[in-house]
Amino acid sequence: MTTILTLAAVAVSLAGLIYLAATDPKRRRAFNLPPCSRRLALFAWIVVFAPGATLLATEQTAAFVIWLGAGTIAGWLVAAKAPTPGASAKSQ
Amino acid sequence: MALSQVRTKRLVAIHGWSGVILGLLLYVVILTGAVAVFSFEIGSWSASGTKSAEPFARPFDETLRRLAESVPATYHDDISVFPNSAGHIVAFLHTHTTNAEGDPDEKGVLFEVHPKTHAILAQREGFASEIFGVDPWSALDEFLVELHVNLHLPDPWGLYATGILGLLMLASAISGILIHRHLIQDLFVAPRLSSRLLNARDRHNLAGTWSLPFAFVLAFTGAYLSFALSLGLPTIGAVAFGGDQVALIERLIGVREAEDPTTAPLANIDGMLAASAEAGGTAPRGFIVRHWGRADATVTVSHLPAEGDLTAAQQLFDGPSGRHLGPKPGIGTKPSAGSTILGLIFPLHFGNFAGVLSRTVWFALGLVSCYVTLTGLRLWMARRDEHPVWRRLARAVAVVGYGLPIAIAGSGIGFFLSLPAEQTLFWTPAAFSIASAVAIGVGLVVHKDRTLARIYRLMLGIAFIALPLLRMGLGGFGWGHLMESGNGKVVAFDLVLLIAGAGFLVAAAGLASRAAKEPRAADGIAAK
Repeated sequence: MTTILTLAAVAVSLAGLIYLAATDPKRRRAFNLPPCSRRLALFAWIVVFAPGATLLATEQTAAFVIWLGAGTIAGWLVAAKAPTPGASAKSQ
Repeated sequence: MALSQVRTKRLVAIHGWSGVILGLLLYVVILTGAVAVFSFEIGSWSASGTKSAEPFARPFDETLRRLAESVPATYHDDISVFPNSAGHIVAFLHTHTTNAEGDPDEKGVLFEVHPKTHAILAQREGFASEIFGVDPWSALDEFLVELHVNLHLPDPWGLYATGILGLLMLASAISGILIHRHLIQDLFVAPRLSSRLLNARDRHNLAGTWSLPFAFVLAFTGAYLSFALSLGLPTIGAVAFGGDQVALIERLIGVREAEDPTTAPLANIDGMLAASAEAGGTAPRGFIVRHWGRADATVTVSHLPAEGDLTAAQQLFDGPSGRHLGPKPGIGTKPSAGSTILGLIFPLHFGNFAGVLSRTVWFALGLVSCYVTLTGLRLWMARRDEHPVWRRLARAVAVVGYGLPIAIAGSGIGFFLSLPAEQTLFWTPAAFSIASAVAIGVGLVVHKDRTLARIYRLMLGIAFIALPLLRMGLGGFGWGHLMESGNGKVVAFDLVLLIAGAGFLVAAAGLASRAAKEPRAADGIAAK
């Protein structure tokens, strides 16, 4: 149960992190990509943190701590990958 | 927080110099810590699987009585029973005393019992400091854990060293936050490619930023564990217990204050283990009987955390009646904030609260911290690479960076090669030293950076692939038998090593083909 909950929580947060990375203004500037016309940053951050809050609220402390650890690794891996030129066209 | 330019420069100097002076040692502690997260699995893997997933599945009461009757009554003070990584049940019947050096120690008889047949596999008598850690099957995992815990330095200097390194990691994390002005803005900025130096800085900053929360947690809990054992307990013992460390430990453990030496037989231990499993939510992992055969006897049963929990409660029983007295805090006899906090420090540092999943995440967090340490060192050297001394130090970073995992894999090779002759206690550390010397020798002989990296990757690839082959080839069980006996984790471990080994070989080949395409660039690096 802990494994399934953790993986599901990390997957949801990962989706939010990927969106935030793809639309991040400084990242786009650094790689000469055009800025995004619309960025739902607040909503994306809620998506990132909501699984953790849910795990805490349901007293799944082990899953919460693993989610926190796995989330930071996932965030680093997402951010460390340089954007591809194809990504710019999609997110415009 | 905006800092003046002077203060920022000062902090950069502290951050950099502390890293340069102790960074490589910190890397050793972090990487061995990441590996030690799997110490139990490594022990089980090196012994080709555990004999039983649940050590007390077969009733143990009769065997325990037989063991107790076979030792002097002085060793009935405490009886600790727990499984080792090979799945054997270890029973240590002992008393608390001081050893020849005058240090508090436990003296008694240690039995290793087969979990299914209850046959006695080994028996040793003496002080705990002498009879533990001499089992040839546990040599590899114990060597790696000791390397992480005290760098194989004598007590208490090893613990002081790792404690200081933990504090250094904490200081680096704090100074890193203060000097990185755009921590949040740069959260998603991938390492830029415009210059080599900027790219190196971005790599270090990005990994450092994302790993900050756990760098704090791991550094603080690590420093706490090192200093609590080496400094905290002896100091409290000296101040509050007049130097009587045995009394201190008894107070911390929470033994009953009222002693009753009247003879009284212990109730059936299997009944208590069954009741504990019901109360604790998981199968018992071990138990301690205090004052065997006396009216004031107690039994404390320990468990792994229940599904979804971070910590596990111990269950306390009255020895003569077998009555369940309730959960027992880790410290003292009543629940307290200190006991709760201490209960959290262990799972947060070891990551062992949710099986392989939590251990895998903790291992990955350890690797990220290694990456931060090495990229920080390389960044510092890259900024000064016009000076020959810094260039040589940059070479040392590469040698230690690759050399340590090569040496760890080498210790595993030494373990398996010496296992048939049961000489693992000598050859596991010896092989680590030999592999370290080979890695250093290669670093001294090969001058081209890219060639050096290629050779190291090749060595890592070959060593990783050799490990499972040696395990199976030198008397270990094959995959079919392991799967049938419920030791799928050993097979998974073999597969991870084979995949990692293949990955390093591919990476070495990748460097070779890049060198062939860019011979000038490779030579340029060599010229430095």
